[in-house]
Amino acid sequence: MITEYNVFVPSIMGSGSSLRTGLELKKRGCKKALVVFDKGLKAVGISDKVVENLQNAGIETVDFDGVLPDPPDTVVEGAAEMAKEKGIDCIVAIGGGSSMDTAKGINVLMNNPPPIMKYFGVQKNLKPGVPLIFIPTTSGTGSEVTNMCVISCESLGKKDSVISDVCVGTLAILDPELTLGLPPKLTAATGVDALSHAVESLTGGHSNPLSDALARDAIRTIAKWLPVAYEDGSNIEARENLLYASMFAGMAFTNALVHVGHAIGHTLGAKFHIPHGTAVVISLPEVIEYAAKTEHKKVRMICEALSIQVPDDATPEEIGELGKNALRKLIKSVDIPNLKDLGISLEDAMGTAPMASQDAGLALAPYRITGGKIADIIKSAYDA
Amino acid sequence: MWSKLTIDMEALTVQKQPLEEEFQDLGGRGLVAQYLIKNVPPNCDPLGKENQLLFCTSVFAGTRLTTSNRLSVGGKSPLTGGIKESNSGGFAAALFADHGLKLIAVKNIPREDKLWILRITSDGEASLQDAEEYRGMNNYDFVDAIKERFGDKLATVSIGSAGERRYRASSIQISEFNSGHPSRAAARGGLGALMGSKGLKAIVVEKPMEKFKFEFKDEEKFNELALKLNKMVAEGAKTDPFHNIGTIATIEATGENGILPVKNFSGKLFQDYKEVGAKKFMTNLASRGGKNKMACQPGCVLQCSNCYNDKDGNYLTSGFEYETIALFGPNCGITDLDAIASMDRLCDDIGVDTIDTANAIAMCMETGKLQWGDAEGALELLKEMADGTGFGQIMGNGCEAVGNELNCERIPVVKHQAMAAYDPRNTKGTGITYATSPMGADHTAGLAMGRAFDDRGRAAQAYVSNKLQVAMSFADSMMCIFAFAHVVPALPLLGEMMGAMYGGSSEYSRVTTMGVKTLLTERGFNKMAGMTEKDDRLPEFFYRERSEATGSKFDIDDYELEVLFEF
Repeated sequence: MITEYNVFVPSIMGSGSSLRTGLELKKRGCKKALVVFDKGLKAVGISDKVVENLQNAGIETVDFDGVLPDPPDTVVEGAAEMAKEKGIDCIVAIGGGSSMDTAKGINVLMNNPPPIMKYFGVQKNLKPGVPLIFIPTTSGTGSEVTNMCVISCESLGKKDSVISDVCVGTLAILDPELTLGLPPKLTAATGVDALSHAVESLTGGHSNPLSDALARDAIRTIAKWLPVAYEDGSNIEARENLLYASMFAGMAFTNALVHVGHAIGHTLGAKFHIPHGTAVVISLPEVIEYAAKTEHKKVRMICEALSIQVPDDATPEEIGELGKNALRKLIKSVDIPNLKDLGISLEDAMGTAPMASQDAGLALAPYRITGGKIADIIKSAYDA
Repeated sequence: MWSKLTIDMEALTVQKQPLEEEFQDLGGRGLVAQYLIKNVPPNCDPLGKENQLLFCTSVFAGTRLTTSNRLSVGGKSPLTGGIKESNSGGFAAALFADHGLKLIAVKNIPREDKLWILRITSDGEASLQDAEEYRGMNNYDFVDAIKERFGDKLATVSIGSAGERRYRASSIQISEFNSGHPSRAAARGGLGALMGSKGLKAIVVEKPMEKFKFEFKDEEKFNELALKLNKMVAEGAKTDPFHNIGTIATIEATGENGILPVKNFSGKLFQDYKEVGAKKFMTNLASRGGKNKMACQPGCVLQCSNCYNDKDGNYLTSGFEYETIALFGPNCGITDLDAIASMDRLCDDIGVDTIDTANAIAMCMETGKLQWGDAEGALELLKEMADGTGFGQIMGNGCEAVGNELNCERIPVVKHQAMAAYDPRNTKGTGITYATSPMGADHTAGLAMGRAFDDRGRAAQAYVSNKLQVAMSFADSMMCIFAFAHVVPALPLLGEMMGAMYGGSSEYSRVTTMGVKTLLTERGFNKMAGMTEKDDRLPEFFYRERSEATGSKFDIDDYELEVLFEF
């Protein structure tokens, strides 16, 4: 099969690297930056440090501290209007997926008229925005290296994505020190989000050798270091490894894309307000068992990355089961709750299957999956 | 309430009755599937007495919805051995609807080897009339003779000599609105042979003096919704190349990206495709008094049809389409658009499917019986079909028959039916449709080109094929798929229209369920007719040989094909 690897974001990595932000912007001729973050980051002093760094480099800054979870279109549109008014010439996003998605949304609207919902879907003809710098403070979304932003459209009452080059960063700056303060629960939920990106991008129909390599390394690294960082958040080696792994997983999935686990996760998330990382990983072991029917070579790779021995003569079904069990063990080791733990009834959980079966994310499934099969997956994952 | 006509070719009787309640809100492809599964044994001889030939109007026939007057012709296919719904434009369906007819079922076979015409007069009388005088007459002469005899306020549905000879690639030709040319075809699957086996030369339907009035549940609402959709189609048509040029415009895309088949699906690019491209076509129309933007049925606002004249400005053919041009053209190495137009005319005249026939010519070229690019030789072979020579008769049975006769190793058929003009390695979703459609290799069953991430990649192709196959199977029950493409953003309105017309649910699921049920019924019919998973695969060479244009093979996992229709 002939495959392609397309989306690539230059990166700077290492403890303290966020202190290079000002120099990097200056190198790119930027003079006035919009700095996007949420109030939580302001409270712990992370955003102030970056703003100060920019100002020391002689770059004027405009703060936007109004980032909200699941960024609403109205917030993005308001921020974009403000950014244009102030005449900024670059955007720096600090934070998790919400900050980065907000910044991407603003960038889309820098030179394309609002509303942003006009641009949902794959966009090939958008006018370019301004240089876009990402400084992630969680190890999960990988948004710093992807070409999409997820926006909640208030008038349509749903989340959708803009997929465009305008969402691709000019530079990602990965400074593990900024992730040290992440509490254990959030460390676990963001870590398994990255895990699901890696696992699904390996097994989808759009995978390629480069995304496979990145995904395998991400799985290996997360399996080793996520339990460590969950136990001891101050372990900088673990934080460093997880930050890189989440970027690798992001690079893998922005090229190879994700499938059934995310379709189920988006539906569960919307229905029961489960955090994204938890929602997408709840049924991941079963999804991989299902995928093994046709993608057994890839599931074998997943098993190997999880240090599971797979006999040479194992059948696809056996490989699927080994993969399922290994993934579940890893997820359980960082106390990710199952649906039962979350207080959701089996009936309600299975009731989301028809909706999940309508999710466009299933387009990337390794082979056709019905609502009935999705219900089976949810049932099996329910109290596992 | 809609009526049906039952024509018994053994007893030579015609009976008009109310259509069964269960079929009232069906139409087109959906009605063909449900009627056949209940009334025709799937394992019957397609040319024997147990098979039936159906003519169905659509769910919305006779209404103000644009392009709702498509004609679905159905039966067990003499070519594929499976179920067949062949969908055509033309004038006849509008007139059937105006007579209140949703279904014409032709049963049994005549005791004597004779020909009849089913005539439906302006006052609604339907009868069988002796047609021996038209034996051997091809479609163009036939239409002229009928007009001379009965006037021109009528439509014809007829077979030429190919159908009379039971050629398995023979078509049924339907006269176009306004021009009356028999250039619209229910072409695929050899239904002309089925009509021939029934001894039915033609249906001649006159415009009724009094138009049938359907009792809508809520006519006002229906018309309001129809108007909304009509506006969408008219608006979309403004920038649609099918309207502004014709379906030939497709070649401008496929010629560049390796989807255009070249020299029997060799997978190569064809440098001279522009010789048979849109520009040439438009230039020839303009300089010779030809025309495009023509409607094949009344009320069509998309108007993709055309009239193509020869060098001297005389009428040559109409309904001159991309598939015909691509398959007689680049797929045979031919670059002479006029010669291809002559081939199209000849096929329409004797009544054969241009897709199967053009692929049959490519078989002759692949095996050295003809040289690539030999347009004159190709025309000679088509004339042999018309004359009924020994080889001409094999030609009449289509691509696979010719390929087998000439020991060709690369025969591009699925379920014995030849592929349309899209290389399945470079639009893999279309390849999945070719493989799995109950109709055989059929582009209209779900053309995935440009709908997934990468036409040549695997991602999302099965998903797209599945969605399109469901959509096409209800679209083919309702309206022209070209117009349908422009109403996709408002599909739930189709459910509301069904509710406003027939009562009952106005949910969109009523429409999608019809699509799924149709597909599953068709697959059930094929299974009972003896088809297996092996019939849902492409010919081996597409899996083995790379397309030289792109390096792609058809590398879709068998299991993806097997589970494609799980719902």
